[in-house]
Amino acid sequence: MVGAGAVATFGERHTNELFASELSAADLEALDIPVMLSVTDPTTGELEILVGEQAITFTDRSLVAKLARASRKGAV
Amino acid sequence: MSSHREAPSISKDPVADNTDLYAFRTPGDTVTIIASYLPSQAPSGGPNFYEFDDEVLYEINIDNDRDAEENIVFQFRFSTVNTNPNTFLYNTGPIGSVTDPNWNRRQTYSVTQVNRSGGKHRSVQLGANLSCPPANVGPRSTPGYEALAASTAYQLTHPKNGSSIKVFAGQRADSFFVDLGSVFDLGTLRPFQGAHLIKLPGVSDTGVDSLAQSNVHAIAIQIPIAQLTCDGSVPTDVLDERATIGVYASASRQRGLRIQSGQRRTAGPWEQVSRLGNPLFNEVIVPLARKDEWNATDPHDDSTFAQYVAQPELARLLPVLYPGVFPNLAGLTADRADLAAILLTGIPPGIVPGFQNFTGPIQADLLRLNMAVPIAAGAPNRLGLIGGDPAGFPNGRRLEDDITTIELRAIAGVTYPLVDPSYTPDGAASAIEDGTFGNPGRTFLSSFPYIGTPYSGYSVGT
Repeated sequence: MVGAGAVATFGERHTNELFASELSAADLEALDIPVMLSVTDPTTGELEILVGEQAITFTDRSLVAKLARASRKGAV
Repeated sequence: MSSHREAPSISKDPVADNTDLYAFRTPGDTVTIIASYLPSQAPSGGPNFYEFDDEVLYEINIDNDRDAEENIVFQFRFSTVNTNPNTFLYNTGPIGSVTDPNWNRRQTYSVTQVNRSGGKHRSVQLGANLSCPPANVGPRSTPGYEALAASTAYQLTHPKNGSSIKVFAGQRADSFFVDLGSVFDLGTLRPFQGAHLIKLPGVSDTGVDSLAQSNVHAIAIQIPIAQLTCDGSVPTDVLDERATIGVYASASRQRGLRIQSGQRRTAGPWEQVSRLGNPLFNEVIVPLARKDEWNATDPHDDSTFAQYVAQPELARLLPVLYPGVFPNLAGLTADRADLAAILLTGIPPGIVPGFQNFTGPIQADLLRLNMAVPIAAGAPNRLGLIGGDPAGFPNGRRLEDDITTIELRAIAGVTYPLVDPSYTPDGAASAIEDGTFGNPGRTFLSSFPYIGTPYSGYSVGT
């Protein structure tokens, strides 16, 4: 059945998105325009995403910690 | 200069640098606003001739309800293409029209009108793919330049209200005139340099127009007055509050820029990097250390700069640089309410008989135009309002207005009696000028876009 097959395929993709961090076509489309990220307040984990004509602020301390470690590695 | 390279950061970003702003009544109950950018262009500057920047948002902002917040914004975005990948040349033959295949480096633009009211924004695109004229290269490359440029003055129709709006964007002759080399050499006014603190015997007293034969890039727009007022009216009473608009022009860049392998990518919200209301405001009023901050500030927040208007540095310098010439100005220590009115709020009713361009108590550097003041009958007086001509600066600004002399004299005290009749200006206050008075060499068009034909690269210096 075409419908059932479509559901199964969607399920696989969904699982991949969640657990394997694969990018969906929608994700890739969103990244088709420049997206820039900057850490605006490392003490609170605040980040700013620049995309289109917008600045989106959000907080993710674990991501800021990863960025900090990656930056430190790059510095040595 | 009026606002050419007037702040440290923007002096390094000329394509976003506001140089002058003009707003004046034009026939048919219209107002023409001209915002110039990209200062001090050498007309021969090829093969990469001057152009607007695709990465910059150019805006003309209009407040019509006396709160120093823009109600109408005209946005201009540019797009540039190379049509011939195999040449280093700007053009490979004479450019006879904006579609001529000989023209390699072309620029087009869009115009969007944004109306802001009650926290809501309504955007309407007025035009797209409108051509800029080429730079005025020379008689072989751009023959018949005036006609070529005139073909790029567009008449647009507002898709919602049907009103007619004219636009033009491209290279023009700089209308501003000033003796920069002298003024920035410790405030020297050549005609009066005999009285300067530092004597230079044997030098000429004739002013030198430093901007003669230099070009700018101008955006001109002509709008019906009925589209500019808060209620669609066309006021005829000068004392009518609805008659005055406040105007400023600006340039903005996106917050993020990434450069790699010759490719540039931008992202994020627009950040204002340049603005201009009254001529010379940032240039001679705001201290050097705060000029970049001023460029990034919304006019609505200009009260933070009001102290520099109340106690202008130049008013303290004149008596020092010209000892004994300005004794009354030297003794004038009170806040300059006259300058605050002219530059920050507009002139309230009752100060100048039969005139006002007051936009309320909020202090903001806006170029205020009372649109009920008719076009001057006969030749404009280049001293504008202080010359008895209310159709000129500081009621808007015309291309002919000698704003260097007007502002010099105002700062020197000629306008202070308007707020304190007991004050007597120094005799020199109504005489000083930089020696370029008379607008040497400037010619303007008799119709839209009014600002003059740019100097050609071939002809300048010959």
